[in-house]
Amino acid sequence: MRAASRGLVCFLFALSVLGCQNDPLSETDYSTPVPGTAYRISKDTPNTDKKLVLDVYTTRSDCRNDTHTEDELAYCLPYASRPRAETHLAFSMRDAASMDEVPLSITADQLTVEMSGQTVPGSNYELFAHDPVPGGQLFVLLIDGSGSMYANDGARIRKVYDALVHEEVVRTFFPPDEENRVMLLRFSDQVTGLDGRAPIMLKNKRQYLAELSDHIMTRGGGKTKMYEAVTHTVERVLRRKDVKDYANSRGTQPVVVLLTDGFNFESSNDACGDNVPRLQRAIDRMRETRDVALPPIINTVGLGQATNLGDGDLEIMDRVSKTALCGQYANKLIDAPGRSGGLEDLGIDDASLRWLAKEGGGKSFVQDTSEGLATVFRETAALRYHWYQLRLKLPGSSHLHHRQAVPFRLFLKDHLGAPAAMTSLTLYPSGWTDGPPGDVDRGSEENWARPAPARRIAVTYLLLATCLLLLTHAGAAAFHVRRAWTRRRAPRTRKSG
Amino acid sequence: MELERIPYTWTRHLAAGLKAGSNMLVVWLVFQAFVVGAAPSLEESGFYWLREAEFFVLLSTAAAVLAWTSVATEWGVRKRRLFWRFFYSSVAGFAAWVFTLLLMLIVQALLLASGGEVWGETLTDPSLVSLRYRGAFWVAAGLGSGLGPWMARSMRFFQDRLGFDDGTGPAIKPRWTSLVTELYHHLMAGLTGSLLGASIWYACYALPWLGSDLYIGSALGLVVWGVVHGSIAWILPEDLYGGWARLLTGQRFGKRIFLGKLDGVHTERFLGHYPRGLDLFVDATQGVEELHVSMVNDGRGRFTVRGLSYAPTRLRRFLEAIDLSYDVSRPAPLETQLSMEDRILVGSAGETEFEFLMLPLDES
Repeated sequence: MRAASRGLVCFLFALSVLGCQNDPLSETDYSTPVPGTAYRISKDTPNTDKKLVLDVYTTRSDCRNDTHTEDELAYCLPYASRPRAETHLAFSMRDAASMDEVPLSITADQLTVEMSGQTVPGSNYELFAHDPVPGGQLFVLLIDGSGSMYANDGARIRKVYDALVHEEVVRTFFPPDEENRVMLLRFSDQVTGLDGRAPIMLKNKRQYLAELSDHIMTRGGGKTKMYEAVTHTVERVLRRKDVKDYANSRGTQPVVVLLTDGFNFESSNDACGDNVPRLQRAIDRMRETRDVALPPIINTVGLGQATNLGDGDLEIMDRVSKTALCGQYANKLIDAPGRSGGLEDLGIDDASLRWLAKEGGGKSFVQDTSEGLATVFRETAALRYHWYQLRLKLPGSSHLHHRQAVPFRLFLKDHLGAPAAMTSLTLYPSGWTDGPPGDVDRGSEENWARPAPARRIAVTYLLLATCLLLLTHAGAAAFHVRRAWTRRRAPRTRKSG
Repeated sequence: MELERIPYTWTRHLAAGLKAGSNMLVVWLVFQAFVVGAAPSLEESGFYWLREAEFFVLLSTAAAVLAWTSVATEWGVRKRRLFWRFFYSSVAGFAAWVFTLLLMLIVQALLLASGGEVWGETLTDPSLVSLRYRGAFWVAAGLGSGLGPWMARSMRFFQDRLGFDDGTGPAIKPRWTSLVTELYHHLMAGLTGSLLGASIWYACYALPWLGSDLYIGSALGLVVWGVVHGSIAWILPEDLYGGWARLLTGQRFGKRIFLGKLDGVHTERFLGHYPRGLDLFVDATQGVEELHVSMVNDGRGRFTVRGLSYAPTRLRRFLEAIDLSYDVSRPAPLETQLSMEDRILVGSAGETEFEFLMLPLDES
């Protein structure tokens, strides 16, 4: 009996104090407290069957390895706020084999977030890049050298030139104290450097500006074999030894920018429909070359007006069709010299450009001015970052009153929209309390919460404690004040004599 | 808590409750510091509770602190020795903690046994916020918080029997009926407090216009539990106060006499100008007869004033005036019950005035 009672007492004591420590052996239910909140978070379980691993930072020690300042640490740590229905998760990309960090340029579009099995709308989250990789980028500018670019006294190629020598564009390509490389390529019937010879990697601003000013206005000619130009760049130029060595040594993802003012045009009787098998062939070849850890990003820029010929949603289409590329103009000639009504007279083949950008994991733009082109160049020369912070605002109905653990899955899509990396983790809200609600900068455009400092708890305590203290003494104070107000004064004593 | 700072007004009924509420707020603060602030460091060292134990740890600790506060407050205002204060408070706290854990474990076992598998999964989810599934645990904690102080208060008799003197004289042997009544009071106090606290806690979470979070909800829930429990389980009793009569006029302005305490002893004090043997002498020039007024303490909390003279004697209180002058047609002097701050005017022009006060016994 005595032993039983002693055992019971020990059990209760252990339950409350000592025995409640986490069991490191129970991996399945391992969760760690989220600093500044009452949440706990599980270890993330990334997939390992891809070349990339999406690694979410869940603990302070995870973050300490990859952040340098206390401010960065605050952004790196997970955060969750029930009243604000907000969650912040930081992650980095790693090589599946070595688990070394792979800095990437990721946009929110490439990310899919699932919460409790439901896909979170893209408008509900933002991606914040942290810790840019200094230097080491490779930009390949693939400029249309067909005759149309030099028509009207070279009006179009001058816009391109003005954009490329724009001060901010030059600074983007060659930031101070950083070693980037730029390749200037011209394509028409074939792909060459601007000077018509084999393309070279330009190492600095001086070389770049000299190459542009010396050669870009040199009149070109021929057809516009844009599909072949892209595949040639990906298959040949980027696999050239010096280029490959540079990209590998910096761990960089080459950025290709294709610029054209018309349609893919390989023979004089080409109609739009003739480009369908060509584009499909180019896409198939691009797909074959992208099965590497750091595939090139292909952005496309149309100079002029979009024709908007294609019908259908490219995002869900896998193969090119006449309708998708040409709409009702499949049989219409692209160039009709001496006859009006060629498709090139209408504008740019924006459908092809969007197909190529989609397959290349990049973006497609249409611009008609040198300023617009300059903006596009700056945007495409995106920096790579060591790690990212994802901030989610979740629908109140599902998250705010979610009473149980909240499982998350993060997908990083590749150029085809298929998962390139995936991880899953679970947030456990406390069943008893929440941390203090986060602060929001009212004046700023970012309507995201920052974890509230610990003094918020002290302030809340002091406020409530003051209320209790006032209540405790209010009765006595009122009593004494009333007594003092209505008190009877002592009578004056008359002095004798 | 100092009794001297609590006047004999209706607010004294809240004093113990507010004290308990304040201590529960400290519990909240400490838990916030643990959960929100120190948890990552504690977790790294392994000294942190499992998610599944969080509710148990919180409620049992809160119940223990509540029980500790209730007894410590009583023993404090009764000016018991420090050792015994600490001893009984600790006994109450520990008992409440054990009872709460036991009751919660029993509740969990019962709920798991009575519900299906799905219900079991829901019930054991530590992230669950629900009155339906958690209400019973709050009830268990409330009962535990009532049982602890009741046990400590009932124990004093046995301490006395065992020969340990705490300096307050012999304890009155409790009767079974009073023990059961006390138990009922304590359980009801714990039950009411914890259920109200749970309601506030859940309302703050479930109602959007209350913020929809548990940050304030957990604080208010614990405070409400503490205030309600403290206000019901043990309120400042009458026997801590004694009656006084205090002169407000004349040469002896401010002179006061003690009318006795609530110790069961009947006492009567007299006011007049008879120079010897009266409790409160007032000069005859102040309109006072030789034996004018008497104040009676029945020893059970009832004070009365009697007019013993033909000369005018009036009692005045808010919106009320009573003539206590002696009426020859009546067999007995007129008398009326005294309340705090009643004023008695003596003499045709009210030349002498005195008031009745209830003050803490420490004033005597």
